[in-house]
Amino acid sequence: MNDKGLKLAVLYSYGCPGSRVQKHNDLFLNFLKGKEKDKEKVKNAIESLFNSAFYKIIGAQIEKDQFDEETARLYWTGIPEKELIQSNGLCCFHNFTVLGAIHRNPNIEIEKIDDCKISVARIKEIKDKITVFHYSLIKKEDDTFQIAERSTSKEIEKGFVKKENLKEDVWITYHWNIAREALKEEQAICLLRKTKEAINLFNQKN
Amino acid sequence: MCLSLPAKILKIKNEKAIVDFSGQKAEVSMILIKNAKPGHYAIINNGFIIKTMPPKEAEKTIKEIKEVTK
Repeated sequence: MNDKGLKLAVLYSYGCPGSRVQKHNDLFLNFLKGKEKDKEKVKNAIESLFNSAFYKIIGAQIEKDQFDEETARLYWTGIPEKELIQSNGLCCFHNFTVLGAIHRNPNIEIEKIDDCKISVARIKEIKDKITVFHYSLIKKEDDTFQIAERSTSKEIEKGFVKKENLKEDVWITYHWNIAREALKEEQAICLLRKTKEAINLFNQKN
Repeated sequence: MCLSLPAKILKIKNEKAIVDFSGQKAEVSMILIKNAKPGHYAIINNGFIIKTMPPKEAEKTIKEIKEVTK
């Protein structure tokens, strides 16, 4: 088992509703802090989550383990620069899968879906929390989605971004208003582009 | 969201299943998961069954999701 892939899966799964429902948050946080050493237990927790089905599909397609770093990164961020991974018409990218939820749950607000997508943001200011520029998900009048063309600012938790990267203008990802990791500029552009591609694909299919 | 309400599989025909999402029926593809059976529960994403669940686990999950999303 590849630790980097498991860590990445845990990094992005921590704090999401699936982890809350399954009561995995303490386990995930301890694993990220290095306090939880039982990788099998963490792996089982990850496999109980909805997203794990996509690691298997991606892993099979790219001929890597479901817990390989590349597998987990492709699902959560769409990085590196490759085509979106699809299987029989299902797009295996988190920012695509989140859009499907809105169809079966008419009461879910667009803001919740926006919080659930993996967002690209640039650090503007660092205090107790960090203020970032980000690109919101918008639902248009014709029920299609798009990413806002202009960035807006919001406050999020510092989360898991390393101290050395907590600097103005650094690109980061965040999920459920918790910063997850710093990205290089080309990675940030890739995630944003993949997100737009996934939204276009979703709009065409629905 | 990173969460999906399990749906009960009612009927299966030609790699398609009719499922019940808490009273709302839908036809979904079984092309990715072929061993699902009527009476089982399934996790659906974008019209595809991506995972199946035993009834007890599914019922517990449905209850917990409803609590969390109240």
